[in-house]
Amino acid sequence: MSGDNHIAKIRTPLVTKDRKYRQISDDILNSLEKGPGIKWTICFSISFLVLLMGIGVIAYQISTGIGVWGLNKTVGWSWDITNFVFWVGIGHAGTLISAILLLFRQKWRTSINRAAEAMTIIAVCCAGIFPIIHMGRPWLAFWMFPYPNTRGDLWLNFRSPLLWDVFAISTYLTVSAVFWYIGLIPDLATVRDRTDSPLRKKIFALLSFGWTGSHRTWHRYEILCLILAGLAAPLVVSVHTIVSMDFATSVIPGWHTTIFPPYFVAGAVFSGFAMVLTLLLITRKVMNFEHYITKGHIDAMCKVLLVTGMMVGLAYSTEFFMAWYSGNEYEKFTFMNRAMGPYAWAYWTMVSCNVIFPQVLWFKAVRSNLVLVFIMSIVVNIGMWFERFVIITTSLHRDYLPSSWAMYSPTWVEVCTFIGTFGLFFTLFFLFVRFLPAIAVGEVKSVYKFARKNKDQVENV
Amino acid sequence: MEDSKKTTSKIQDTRSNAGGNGYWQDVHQKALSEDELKNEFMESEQDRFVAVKSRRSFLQIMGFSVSALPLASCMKIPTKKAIPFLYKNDTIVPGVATWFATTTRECTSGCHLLVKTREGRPIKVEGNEKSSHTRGGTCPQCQASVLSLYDSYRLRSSMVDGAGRDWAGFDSVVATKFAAVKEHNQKIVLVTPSTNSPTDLNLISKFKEHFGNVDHICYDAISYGGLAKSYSKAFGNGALPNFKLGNAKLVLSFGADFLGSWYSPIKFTKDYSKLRDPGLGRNMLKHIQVESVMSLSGSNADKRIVASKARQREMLSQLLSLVESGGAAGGRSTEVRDLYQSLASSRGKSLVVCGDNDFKTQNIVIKINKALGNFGKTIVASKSSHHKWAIDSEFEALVNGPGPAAIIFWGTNPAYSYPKGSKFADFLKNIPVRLALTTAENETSKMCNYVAATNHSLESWGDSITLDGELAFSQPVIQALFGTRMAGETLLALMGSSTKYYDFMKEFWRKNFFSKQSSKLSFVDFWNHSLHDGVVSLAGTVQEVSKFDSSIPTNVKISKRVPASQSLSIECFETNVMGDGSCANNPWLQELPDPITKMTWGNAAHISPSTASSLGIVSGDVVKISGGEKAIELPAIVQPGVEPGTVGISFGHGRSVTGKVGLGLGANAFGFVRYNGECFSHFAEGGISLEKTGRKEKLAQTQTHHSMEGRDIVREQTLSEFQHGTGHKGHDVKLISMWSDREKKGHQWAMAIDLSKCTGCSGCIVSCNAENNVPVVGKEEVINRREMHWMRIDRYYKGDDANPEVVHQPLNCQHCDNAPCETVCPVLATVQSSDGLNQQVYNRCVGTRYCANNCPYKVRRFNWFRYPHEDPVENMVLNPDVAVRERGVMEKCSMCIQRIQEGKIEARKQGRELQDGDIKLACQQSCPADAIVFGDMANPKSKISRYLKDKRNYTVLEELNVKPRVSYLTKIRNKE
Repeated sequence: MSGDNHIAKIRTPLVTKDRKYRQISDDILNSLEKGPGIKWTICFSISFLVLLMGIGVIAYQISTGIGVWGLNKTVGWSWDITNFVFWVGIGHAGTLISAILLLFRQKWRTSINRAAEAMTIIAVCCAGIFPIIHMGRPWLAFWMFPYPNTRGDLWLNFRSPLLWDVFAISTYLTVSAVFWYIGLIPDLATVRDRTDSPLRKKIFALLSFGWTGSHRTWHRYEILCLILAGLAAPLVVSVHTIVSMDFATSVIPGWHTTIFPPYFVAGAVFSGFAMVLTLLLITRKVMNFEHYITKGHIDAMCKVLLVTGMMVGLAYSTEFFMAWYSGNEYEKFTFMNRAMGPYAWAYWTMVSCNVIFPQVLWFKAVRSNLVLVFIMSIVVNIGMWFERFVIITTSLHRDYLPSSWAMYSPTWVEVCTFIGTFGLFFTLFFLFVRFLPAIAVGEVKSVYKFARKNKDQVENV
Repeated sequence: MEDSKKTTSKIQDTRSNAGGNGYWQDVHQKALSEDELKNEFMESEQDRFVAVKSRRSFLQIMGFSVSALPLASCMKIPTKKAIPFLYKNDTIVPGVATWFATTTRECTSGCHLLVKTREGRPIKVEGNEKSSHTRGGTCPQCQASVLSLYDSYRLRSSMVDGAGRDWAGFDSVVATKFAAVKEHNQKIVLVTPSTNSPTDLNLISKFKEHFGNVDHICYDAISYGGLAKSYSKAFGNGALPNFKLGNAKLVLSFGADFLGSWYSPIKFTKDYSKLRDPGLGRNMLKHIQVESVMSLSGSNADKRIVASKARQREMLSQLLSLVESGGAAGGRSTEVRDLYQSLASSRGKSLVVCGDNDFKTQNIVIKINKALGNFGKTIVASKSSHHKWAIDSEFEALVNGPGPAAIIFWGTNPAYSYPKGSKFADFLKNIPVRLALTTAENETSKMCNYVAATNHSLESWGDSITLDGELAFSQPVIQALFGTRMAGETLLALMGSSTKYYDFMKEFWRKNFFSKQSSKLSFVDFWNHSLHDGVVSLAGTVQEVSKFDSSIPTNVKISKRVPASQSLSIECFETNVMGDGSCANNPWLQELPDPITKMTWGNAAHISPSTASSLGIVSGDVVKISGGEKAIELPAIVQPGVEPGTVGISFGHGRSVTGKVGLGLGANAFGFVRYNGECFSHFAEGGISLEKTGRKEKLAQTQTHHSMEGRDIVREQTLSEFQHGTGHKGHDVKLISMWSDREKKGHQWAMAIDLSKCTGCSGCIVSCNAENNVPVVGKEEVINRREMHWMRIDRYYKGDDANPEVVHQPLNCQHCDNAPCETVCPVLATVQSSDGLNQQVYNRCVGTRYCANNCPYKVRRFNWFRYPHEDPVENMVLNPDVAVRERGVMEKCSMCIQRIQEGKIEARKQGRELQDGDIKLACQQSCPADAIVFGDMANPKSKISRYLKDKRNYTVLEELNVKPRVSYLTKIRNKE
């Protein structure tokens, strides 16, 4: 194990409990094989009910018309696109953790990457709902895709950032899903090999594509993972870059800003990590994964939060500087209006949640206090939702001609739709932890070796 | 628009000579037997429009509509004989509009119109450019009148004691009653508005002759009694003024909203806008307005003085003594002296008008004008016009006196508009025979035991005489939709005559007007020509009066000035949208933003900012206003430019008996009108209180931010700046584009709006609604900021909110060359046409609303819901050339693309080039100020090309470089 020499001997092990390989499999696959515990059942039921409510509300909205939302002639987008960007942002952390951290050989990622990737895919699904239901005629949403048709010259407008969105997000979803699934294959094979149930054996045999566990398959698996990671890494940047272009390419002051691509990417990583934290803190409790998702993981993610939070803060101040420096009266007004106008409360919520509060993460004591970290992750999620709300709504509600200035407030339909997407998110996530290995068994075993060795050494000393 | 192609006379006079009811439409119809025709459609009339259920009933309606057109022209034909399209009239080509000239009775001005009918249905009115009265201009009310025609709340049959009766039954009951009255020589009172129809007046005199003891009393809801009385006293009985604003250099208005609602606003706006051209230099009309509430006229004034009604009277009497003494009388305030100086420097070319309905105040105004030598130049007193001649004391005496045996209300609704409603009810209770002639149930008809359902003015024959003595025709443009008949016919029936109103009118014209002209040899020719043109000028209709009685009293009572905090007064005023409230059931008018407050669906108490802050009131607080016996609750609106001691309330709201559209909106201001011993004063002082109720109400305003925030949106200059070229921001920005310019082939459409001319009257909005099937969304949705108007008028205040300067800016889609909406639409639902229009493709739109977000002008409108088109009667107003949009799609101004296409097709059919002016957009055509110019900018000789080269030309948000095709001409204020 010469390759492991670079690992500091005093580093905390990534898996903190002394387990045999078999026991690791048992721990992780327990719920999958033995059925869920009561905690899971409760959580899943609540999520599912919320999802049903969401479906009902969306059905009402589509059958009645978008007028049941609070939008108006001036503010044409608000909660819908806010929620879209919010969910897409959340969908960032998964691929970032699995792809970029894989490329940088950050071994600590192994026990969280599976869940993070699943979260990504689910979040992108949640995000995908909004561009469809926000349309006036959602039954024609397929017109957004470049499918062959008989309309002659009438096709798609490739100049429209909304169309870029369609491509960016569908690509991202595809690559993320493939990456996630490839990563699942060895573990699916483990399930197949361990199970006594003939049905489960059949299903998992099919799902694991005849994985044999030979050196050759492992080799190819690792190469493929690297290639996919290489493909996915630029997507992490591109997706939110393109989402930001929905705004950046427009003429509306407050939207028309070149800083948006990096700003949005940083924000997405920020919000994505916050959501991963929220989820994993719940998962490790609900699924008893405390020894696999350790305080070390939490600590590392808190540090990422701290850094990206400050990047976002830098972006906020840069925007203000540019508004002043540009000498553009509309731009100046928009930013003054954000900070001091009728939606100032939203702006200051955003700044507090994203820039001011996360500063507590400088302290190790905070980072290791799981309750505080959980609260922090929620705070950041709230802050990042408000960031999108502030960008979208406050820019639109007072733009060029004061005669059209208007206020926006959401209706119960919009609020319930948003809550409903949380229902979808958690329903799918709980299904995932129940029916698929929520931690990459194979990869955890690969890092466990060091842990055990280190542990021996520590004991010897 | 060439009249020859647009206006078709539908008189086939030969038919009327046949007599009786056996008229035939053409040879095919004649060939059909009576039975065949009868069996064609068997349904009763009432059922016909209730619901279109099947293809068959659709065909019925179509057949009916088609038949209505020729039918309506001259005679009654049994309505069951609908003519199917198989036997079609030569003048009706499906898809081609037929135009008829007529005159509306829906508005103050009495606009002269051309009515566009498609397949027999009137769908749009436009101004008649042959008229010398309104000269092609129209007002919001007559633009909306076409929708009132299709109001399903209208009466469908006459009623006796609340139960529907057919005409034969009705006539037999009512005629018997009237015959009995006549037998006992009891008194009959006929109440009408001050009608200016010579035929109606003739009919009334015949009616008087027949019944003997008849009083004809004129009653105008919004009274001009003070003015009428003054002129009668000063110039002899029956004399009324005609104001010739076109001859003036200075107009000084004391509270008269002559551009909005006062006397004859469209005529005034035409004159006014011509003179508001800064190219006239020093001859540009100067407008000074002294008023207590912010009116449309005040918002256009070069100088606006805020003064309470009492102060206005004081200023007028001071001005009179200054004018009469040649400026010698001293001790006057500089304000009045300045006014005097302005007037004195334009003697004979000035005009002082006053909206105060007070006899003595109007006397002062007459004397001032007289002393300034304005009579004969800017004012003419004549006996020919019957415009607003009601004498209030007659009606007041009627209500206070013993009731007659029978009373007839013809087109008036005093139960709503008479200030003391309960007194009027008591008065009416004791009259045994109460007959109302009305198109729809109203407050008065509810109190009447006989209700005769009358035709809408677009279904009626009639005539009128304008202020300038021009005769104007009204002709039916569709056969009566419901079981109604012309009001005059009911009077004829009461007299036991079987003469049709049409014949009566024609006979009257033959006797009285045919002889006064010499150009037409036969009466038929004269009649047909007059009918075709809609207007006819005859010699000798204007009888100018020169006799002047200078002893008219001018000792006007001026109440002592007290601080606003101690005493409030109420100023009731008319707006050019809701008028006297008779159009309250018209959704286009209800949803039309008031030009000043931008409020829709109801009225509000206008309170000055200073009074509001001292009383702790903000806009939307419901306040209780009490004065005398009357108290109403209304939301307050903090209105800049209102005199601090005045509470302004507009007329026309608070209807209690009307259709579901107009019911329960706002409050009735007529309760505060006071009879001052001579006339109904719209101004109430003393004993007025205003208190907060603690409730709040959302105001349905289409604009809630009223400052331009220092942005360069509406540009304005003073006349001297304009003349010296200072203060002007021309095309001074160097703009670079990433895109190469579009190739410009063929026509290149462009629009320019002259902000100096536009008064903000908002007629263009209604015109656009009618032309483009713009949906009405209702009060809640306006509060949600979702009104659908393609054209809006932005109104901004500038300066001190005690007396701000006001600008109006019509804003429709700017049809940008580099349109931000086009780049962002993912499905290419909005694209540029080769002739420079930004086109919205409804079928392709999926409704992302990205285009609306990215529109810097916020002119795009989204169909949030499926807006109701459930009323089959109302749907008849829809323009078949324009798609009704589905829910979920974006829409916006199309530059009336259907009109552009029509114009191009017409030119091609005639084998000629399209001429400048061939195509007129709906907004442009209806604009009484001629502020909107549209045309081909590729044609260097076109008017639009000249406008684009004008040094006042600019585009809004030029720095964005979106290159709008709509440009504006800088507003010029005539001041130093």
